[in-house]
Amino acid sequence: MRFADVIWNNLRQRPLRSVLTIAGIAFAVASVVTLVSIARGYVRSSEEYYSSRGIDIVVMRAGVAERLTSTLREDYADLLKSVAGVDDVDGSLTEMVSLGDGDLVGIPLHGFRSGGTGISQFTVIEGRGIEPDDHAAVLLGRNLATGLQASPGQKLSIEGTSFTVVGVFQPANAVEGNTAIASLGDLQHLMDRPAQVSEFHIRVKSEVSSEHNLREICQSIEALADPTGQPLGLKALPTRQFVSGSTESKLMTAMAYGTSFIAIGLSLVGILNTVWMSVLERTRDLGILRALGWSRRRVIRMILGEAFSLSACGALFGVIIAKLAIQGLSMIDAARVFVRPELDGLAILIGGLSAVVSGVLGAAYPAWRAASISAAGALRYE
Amino acid sequence: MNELEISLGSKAEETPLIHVDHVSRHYDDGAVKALDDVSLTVRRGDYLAIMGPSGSGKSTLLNLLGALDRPDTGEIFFNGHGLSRCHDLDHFRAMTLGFVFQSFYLLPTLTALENVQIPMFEGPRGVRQRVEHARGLLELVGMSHRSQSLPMKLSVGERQRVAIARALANDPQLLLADEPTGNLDSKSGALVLDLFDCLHRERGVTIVLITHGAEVAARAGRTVWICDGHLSESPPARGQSCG
Ligand SMILES: Nc1ncnc2c1ncn2[C@@H]1O[C@H](COP(=O)(O)OP(=O)(O)O)[C@@H](O)[C@H]1O
Ligand SMILES: [Mg+2]
Repeated sequence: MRFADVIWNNLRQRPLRSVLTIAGIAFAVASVVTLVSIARGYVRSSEEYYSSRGIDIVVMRAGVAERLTSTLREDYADLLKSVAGVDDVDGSLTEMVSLGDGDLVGIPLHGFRSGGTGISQFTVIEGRGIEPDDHAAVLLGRNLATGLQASPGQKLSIEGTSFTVVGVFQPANAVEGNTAIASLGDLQHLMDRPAQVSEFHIRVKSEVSSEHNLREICQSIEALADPTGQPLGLKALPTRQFVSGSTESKLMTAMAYGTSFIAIGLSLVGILNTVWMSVLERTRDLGILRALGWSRRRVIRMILGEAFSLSACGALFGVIIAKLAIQGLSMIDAARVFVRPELDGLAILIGGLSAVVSGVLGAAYPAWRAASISAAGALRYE
Repeated sequence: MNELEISLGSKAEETPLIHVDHVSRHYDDGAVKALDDVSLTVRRGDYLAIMGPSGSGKSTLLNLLGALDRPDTGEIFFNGHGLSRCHDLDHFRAMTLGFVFQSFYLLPTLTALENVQIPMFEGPRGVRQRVEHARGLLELVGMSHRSQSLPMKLSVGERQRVAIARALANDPQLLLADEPTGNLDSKSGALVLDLFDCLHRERGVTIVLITHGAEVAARAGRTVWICDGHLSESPPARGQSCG
């Protein structure tokens, strides 16, 4: 008999309790892995959205942290272009819109300037791209097109206005797959925001290579003023910083870690309860072990071993549940906009580690109590 | 004791296996004097029976001999070494002592073979050697045919034989038995006592055994009596109450 067999034997004695404890930990781990995966996936998707287009700097209105509430005058583009090191400036407007007869809401619709860099960067896999003389034309991300069962040539109602689907594009990631593209003019007209954009995408000249230079350009942009000397009130950030600093990213990350913390706390209490009960029930058996010469350390190792086995199993099943959950979520229309159908490596690590750590922490006190059982005392009441 | 005495052999043999030196053990802040100034010497190879009425302090004495408890005053010497100075009593218990209890105290969820292996975790044996040794011990006590049985499935006599096999797991120098036949019918009790006789005779194991029964004590080479925490080498006079 191995030491591990002793541990396994103890767990096997109360199968229901062991299984329920494992299930509790599994759900805690699943929530950690799922939420952290979603949050990190969201940040990564956003990053990819910009980097895949070669966007180096994002300019928004100072004081707002989200695209949706950022409003800028379209003609600032000329001033931005005059900043040293700036190669290309492309204004873009983003709105959350409803599609069809209101069956899809909250779909990001990006408006790009006709003939600009942004609008030409989509890989069209069906139909064609948006041409400068198109009117009320829309390009759909592949997942969105599939969900709507829309194909080129078909009509699509956006916010009650009829658009023509001209093509379908290959998205860089799951998030982008659920977005739509229109010309800036059409979107400004549709949302009644004439001559407005929500952000400018800036590509710098190829000689600007270092992060340091990027920040210098950002500073110059933020210092821009109109002819009367009034500051434009712009906020310029290198892409990566812009993405991770956005309110949405921060909120999602905070929610993910906050919820994880609670879930792990619950699983810690679950382990504590299970191990504590099993130690109380086995007072006599533990006394026997001590009488037969088992050291305190061996008793502690046995109890911690039991807790570790439970939490490791919980972690394993938790990851499996998370995998299923995230696949399920990414199939739901409302959620798949921001859910990448994959687990994040760091999320799995965090989920697994926190299960094991909370398991061992939860069992620490019961284990110590178990080791403190006096053999003579435990064997007396018989 | 110095090194020279050990090497001389003849003198070393005179060092008793156990020497209980003026030991007292009180409970409840001295209200219960479970043992009161008890002295006792057990030589290697002895078979000693301790008799006495219930509550007289027999188990208290055995717990002290077995390093499960510490005396309030006095000292217990094992091979000439004071137990109060021993820094790892767990290891001492595991490697030098074997316990047999009235209620067997087998672990209910482990098979006979597994129960016998439990003390071996503290010893040097590897997994395979543990199993082999445990099989050998079960054979010694005549229980090899029930090695895969859980204690619940065994008769009380069989349980006690498994417990004896477990007590022998680390080849102890001293076997401590607290009313080992107390829960057994006379036939299986006799079997257990035969086993003790055999261990004493053929393996030279030192045995200290607590019992109520005179016929049990008769098997031992020597008997001492405890009454109200006092130990005496002669039986209490007939009709005389304890102490
Ligand atoms: N842990 C304890 N706490 C308080 N009293 C005890 C304890 N252990 C034993 N005693 C008391 O000490 C006396 C001797 O007990 P014990 O050695 O178990 O007797 P025996 O084994 O001879 O029946 C009894 O009066 C018993 O109640
Ligand atoms: Mg007793």
